[in-house]
Parts: sequence; structure tokens; C-alpha cells
Amino acid sequence: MDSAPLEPAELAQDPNFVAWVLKPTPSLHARWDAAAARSLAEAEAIAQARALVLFLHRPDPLPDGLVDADWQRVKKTLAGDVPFAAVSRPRQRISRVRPLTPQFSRWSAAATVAMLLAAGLWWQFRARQPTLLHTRSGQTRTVTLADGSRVTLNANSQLRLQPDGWGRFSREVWLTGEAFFEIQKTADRRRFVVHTDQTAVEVLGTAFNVLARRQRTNVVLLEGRVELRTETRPALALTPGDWVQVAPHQTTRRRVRAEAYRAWTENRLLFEAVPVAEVLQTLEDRYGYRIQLADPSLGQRTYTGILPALPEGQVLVQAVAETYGLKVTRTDSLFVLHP
Amino acid sequence: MTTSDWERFRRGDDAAFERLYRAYHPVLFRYGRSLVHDDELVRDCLHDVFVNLHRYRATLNPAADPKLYLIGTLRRMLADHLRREQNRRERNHRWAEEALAPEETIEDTLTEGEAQRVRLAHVQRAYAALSRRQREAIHLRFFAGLEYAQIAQLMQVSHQSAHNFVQRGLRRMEDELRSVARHSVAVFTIVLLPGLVVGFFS
Repeated sequence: MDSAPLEPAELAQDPNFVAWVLKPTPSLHARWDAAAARSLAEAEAIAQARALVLFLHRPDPLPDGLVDADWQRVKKTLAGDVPFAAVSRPRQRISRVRPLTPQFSRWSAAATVAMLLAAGLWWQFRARQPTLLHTRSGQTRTVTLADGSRVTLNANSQLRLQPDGWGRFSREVWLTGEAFFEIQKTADRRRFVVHTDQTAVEVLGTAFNVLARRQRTNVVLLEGRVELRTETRPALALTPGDWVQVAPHQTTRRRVRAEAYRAWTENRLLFEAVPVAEVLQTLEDRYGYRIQLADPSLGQRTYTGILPALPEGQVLVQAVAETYGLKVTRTDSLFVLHP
Repeated sequence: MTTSDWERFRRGDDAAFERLYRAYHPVLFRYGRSLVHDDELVRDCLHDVFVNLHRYRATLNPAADPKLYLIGTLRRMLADHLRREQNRRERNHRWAEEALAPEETIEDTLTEGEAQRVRLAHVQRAYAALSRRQREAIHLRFFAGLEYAQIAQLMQVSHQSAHNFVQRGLRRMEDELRSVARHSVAVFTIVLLPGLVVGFFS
């Protein structure tokens, strides 16, 4: 590829590029990933072209069974069940109100039975399976729960809801990964509980961030009041601006600028004097990478910056590396940062 | 689908007719509903298109491109119908001059990540805001996969106009994407650059 700036509209019509978006192969990956890694402007142009391609080649979903139902109708007309002359030329809208012929009622009876059966199976299935929400690398997702509470799930995370009658008896969820919660108060002041492997966070109505990875749970409170419970310690009450980490053998508490911890829900990764090792961990968790520093002592230095939460993270690893004059070598999902 | 199915169908092979039906029904249905907000009307017209096709199969041009022929027939039928409806009384369905219903069809691209979903939503909005002819040309070019010459023939415009409808439409969509990006790039450069400097000296 030459060095001319990439034009998304042009790119979206390049058969080679379209093939990469729709049916990627390793050699196409190599070409376009390399282009995206060259600069943020190119990464953005490629992301824009991707969006265009996805839009232009995404077939509109058809209603189920549409083609079959319509085919049956054409066959019936051709078989002479409906006098042909009535159908067309000049078109009368005769078919807007269709007579309930025996064939039709048999059809609808079969459809009704099938639908009831499907609904029954769905109920059965639903009753046994806990509801599970999960996100992949580089993906975030916001859901509104039955009680109106909103949960934004960060990349590589999952949230489980108890199987039956969620919100009717209690409000409990299980989290691995990271999520930002905006909890609605209920009229009967029912508690909302977030369980992680280390702790349970109990609230009535409030906004807070929970990060449960690598055997630690970090909770940051933005507004309202939450209580942290562990099996071994008395409950700990947080006030807005508190950051608490529950690790296997110790619990740490700090005062922070809490807003920074919700930046990721707006597609920004915000680091304020964070050790480089932690910045890299965040990128590892978010994109499913492994990132190694050739010189581990660098991990102690602090990093400050805002990175855009791109769908792919290679550019971000590079941005951090460049800050310290390091080069990045990538082998699959392993990145090594070296001088 | 090959011309041989078209040829077989012309000679009265009903299995070939069903294959043609199943191959082209989805393309035609999507095209029809991009023009009118009335799935039932599109289905009724499609019914008539295929019934007529079967009825007059002996008179069909063996050299015709089936997809182009069918799209053209559906287009005329919808247009005739709408003209009649409009003459009779101002009805709710007309050429989709008002923006396409903002359907949320971006859910299935969840794997693309949040930033990409935002972009897709903007592309969709920009598409809905294009002129009717730009939208139709883009639909025919990408969703239905027609060549510019075929689009020109269908829409009864010159080859150059068909090309312009598509390219200008795409530019408008690109501009919309750029305006979104400009905002986030601005955030990035304003906030990241000092950040990098601070990070470097700390």
C-alpha cells in the first residue's frame, strides 16, 4: 500500500478490503492490521471503512418462514385455487383481506401449536439456565435490568443473574471482569448485591464500578452508599470517592477521583499516574493479550494519559510503548516491549 | 442462479421455477421494503410478479438477466400501485421520502465493539438521510449487487448519474463518520499528548 491517506468510501469499495471485513484470511489480516497499526489516522479510516462495508453488506433480516409462506401462496394461485384474473391487472388489493379457507385454518392451527410448543420449551429452558451476559475482547455492552438498573459490562467480562424471578424477590448478580453499575432504588428498598469471588457489594441505589479480575476485586463508589462484605471481615461502608481493593490477604482503601473509573464506559481509558505495569494489565484484560516488559523495572514508572477504547488494542500498546521510546514485537497475542 | 434455470423455466420446468423463486425472493423483498414501508404490500406485489412470470413464461426473453428483469418488474408494479393509491387518496405508504424507519439492526454486530457500533449507527442515520434516488442506487449496487449499467437501466438515468448517486451517497456517509471521529480524535490529541509528556517526565 502507498502512503496516500486512506479514503473510507474508496476503501469500502475495494474488493480486497471487503473480503477482509467479511471473510478474513491470515494474509488479508497481515495486510490490513499492519495498515491499521501504522497510525491512529489510518486505524480510524480503516474502522470507518469497516463500518461502511458492514452496513452495505449486511442483509436486512427477513421474517422467519417468509419465503416458504409466500412460495406456498404463489403455488396455490398457480394451481388455480384463486382465480388468476382476480389477482392482477389492474391490481385490486384483494389479498389484503384473505378469506379463511380450510387450508389457511389448518396452517394457522399448526403454526399455533408450534408456537405454543416453542414457548413452553423456552420457559423450561429459561427456568433452568441463569441469565448470562458476556463480552469479548475490546467489546463493551450496556444492559438495562428488569428493575431499571443499568449495567455497562467492560471487555472480557461476564455477568450472571439468578435464574428465576430476578428483581421480584431479591436483586443479585455475579460478576467476573469489570462492570459499571447504576442501580435504581426500588419502592420497598430492596437490596442490590454484586457478588465477586472475593466479596459482595450491597447497595440500595447508587453508581459504582466493580473490577473483579486476577483474584482481586476493586470497587469505586461514585455516588450513594455501598457496603462491602467478605466472609472474614466486618462489613465495610464506602462513601463517594472511596476506592477499595479486596485481595486474598489484605484490603486496601484509598481516596480517588472516582469519575476516572467510569471513563471506560464512554470509550476512553483514563490513566492518572498509574504504574505502567497496571496500564499494561488493563490492556491485557481488555483485549485478551499478554504483554511483557523486557525491562521489568519500567513497570514501576507512572503513566498518565487518555487512550481511546478502540476495538483492537495494538495501537494502544504502541502508544504506551512510544511514550517510553520502546519498540513492540508481536507474536499472536503476545506483545514484548523492548528498547 | 444460472441462465440455464431461467431457460429451463421458460420451457416449463417447475422445479427450475421454484429455484428461481427461492433465489430471488429475498433480494426482491429487501428491495421492495427499501422503497415502501409496507411489507404486506411488497409481498402482494411479489406474489403477482411471480404469478405473472409463470403465466407468461413462454414470452420471456431467453437472454434476459433474471435478477434485473425481476427487480425491474417489481419496481414498475410498486410504482403503478403507489400512483393509483395516491390518486385515490393520500395514503400512508408512498415512496420512502420520509426517512426510513430507524430500525435497530446493528445488534447482530455486537462483536464489533462499542466504538464500531456507534459508527454503524451513524452510517445508518446518514443512509436514511440520503435522497431517495441515492438510497435506491446504493441499495441496488450493494444489497442487490447490480452493475452501474443495470442500475442506470432500472432507474432510467444515464450511467454517469447512476454512478454519481452511489458515489455521492457514500461520500455523505463518509462525511458523517468523519464528523463523529473528529470529535473523538480531538479528545485524543488534546488529552493524550499532554498525558504522554507528563508520562515521559514522571
